[in-house]
Amino acid sequence: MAETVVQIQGLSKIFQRDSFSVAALEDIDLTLESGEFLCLMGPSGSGKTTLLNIIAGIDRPTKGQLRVLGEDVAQMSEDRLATWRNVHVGFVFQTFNLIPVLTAYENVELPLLLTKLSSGARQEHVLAALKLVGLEDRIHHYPRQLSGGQEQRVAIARAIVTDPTLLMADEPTGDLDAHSAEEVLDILTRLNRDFKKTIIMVTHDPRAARHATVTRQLEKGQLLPLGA
Amino acid sequence: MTRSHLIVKNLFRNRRRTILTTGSLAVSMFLFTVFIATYRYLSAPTETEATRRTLLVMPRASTSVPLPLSYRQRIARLKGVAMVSPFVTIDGMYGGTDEWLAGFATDPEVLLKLYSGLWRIPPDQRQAFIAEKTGLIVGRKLAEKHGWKLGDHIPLRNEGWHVTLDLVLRAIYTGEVDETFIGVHWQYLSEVWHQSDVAGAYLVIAESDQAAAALGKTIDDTFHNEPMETRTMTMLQFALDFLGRLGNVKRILLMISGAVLFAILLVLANTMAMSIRERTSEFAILRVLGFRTGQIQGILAAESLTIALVGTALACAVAFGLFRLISGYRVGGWMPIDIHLDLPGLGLVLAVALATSFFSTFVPAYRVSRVKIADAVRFVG
Repeated sequence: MAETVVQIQGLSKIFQRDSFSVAALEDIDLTLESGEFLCLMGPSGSGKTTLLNIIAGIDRPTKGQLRVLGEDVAQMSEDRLATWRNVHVGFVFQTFNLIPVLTAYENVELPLLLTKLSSGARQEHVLAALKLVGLEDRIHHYPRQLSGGQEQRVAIARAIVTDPTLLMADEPTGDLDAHSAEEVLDILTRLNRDFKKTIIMVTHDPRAARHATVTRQLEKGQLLPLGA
Repeated sequence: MTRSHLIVKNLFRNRRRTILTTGSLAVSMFLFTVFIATYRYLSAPTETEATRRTLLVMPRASTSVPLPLSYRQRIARLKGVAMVSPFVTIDGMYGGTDEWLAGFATDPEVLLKLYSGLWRIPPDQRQAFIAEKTGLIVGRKLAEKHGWKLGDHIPLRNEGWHVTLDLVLRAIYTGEVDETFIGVHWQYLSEVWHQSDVAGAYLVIAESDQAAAALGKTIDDTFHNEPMETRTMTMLQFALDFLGRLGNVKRILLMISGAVLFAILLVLANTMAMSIRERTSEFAILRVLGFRTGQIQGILAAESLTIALVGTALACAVAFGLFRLISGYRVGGWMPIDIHLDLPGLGLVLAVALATSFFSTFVPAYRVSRVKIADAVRFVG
């Protein structure tokens, strides 16, 4: 029986901008089971990234219930959240966000510096992650020496190197050409299919959405019913 | 990779900026180190046997009025006095040049005693200098500069003297001291100046440190209520008295040190603020990856501390070199310049480096850790 990874009930997020209040999310209910590949779609400003950030513990809801992997993420302190993210969440950004002064190998190794793994064990994990994304021959390259597609694959390797349960991807193909985007989506599909990773991906791209097992639409901060 | 590796990588992400910042910090810390060491030296100059045992007897009322020559015998009879001699500082121009030469005029035996252990003089030259009233002793450097040889006549003039001294070079000293100093017989000066019954001041060499400590009061008591009262002090006291008149110099040194400190703080704070601001999104990524804000602040503090300590180490190395270079120099040929950075001074310099590092990083590091991750990820510095 599949385990519930994300359980959201009546979740809202209101941003305060000067004297204005903007409701980014309104009364969201969502449940995500282990091993699902959820695609969140919707127009710009619909609240997709906000929802993703809240689930990943990067942002906090204004009200509502949020349990991720059985934990009440919204109530955790910043430090506890950081440790929780390190163990349970991998995050892939649209703009890759690699550290420019570190090589591909070092970028992937970064999250492991917070673990108690030995240097040898860390090396094993990093090489395995880079091999999985097909970049084992680029380990000493700096981000500026890689193509956009390769950078995003390094970012995916960094996201999975701690073997997290939940993988979040915010427009992972938004800055890529069609070929590179397809490579990245293939990797995410493989991670979901072969490694049973639960994935939440935000995208505008209907072709990207086809790789997901579930697609949900957001509009003006509201989650539309399944199949809408 | 380790966290220290990460710190080094971050430091060298903008190599030119890091080098320039470290360089300017090193220059500022060098100035601060020199000022602090000089301030400490001025507060407590180096003590030697010569500065402890040698006393200077001067007129109490005014140094422009000479003491009677009759005081010489009265001082010589006091208990604890080993030697006594009239004493005058001289400065005159050599021959037709406008180069000033400076030195002392005393009895030759007292002069040589004063510099025993500091000047190396061949015995025959020593005797020749003592024996001839117009004899002159000069440092090796001065003799080499003018190509003087033993037996040369050296004319020395000063508008205030109304006469040109005709001195004969009889001895050349060497030593780890100022080698541009000159010594002449007081007797010769008193004759050409037609001042056979007065002496500017007296130089007294005590038999021991203990004797010197008591002798000052004894001499002054001896001439109490005389037409010319005296003011006696050891050379060390004289130096301290002289330095005391430089009180403003010490205050200026402190003020400049404060300004230098402020400049150091601004330089490092500016660099750290720029460096942190332009990496705002990277710190957000680190937080997404699981780094706690305290760990990120620790990395930033380590970066700043590395720059501060490398700059300070460079500054101290150059300052130590400078102190070593001038350590042989003696003011007036006898008062040693021994500026050095002692442990409390070094502790102060290190504390300043640590404080500068802390204060330059604290605010920008705190601010960057307060930015919401979601906003910081999109930040373009």
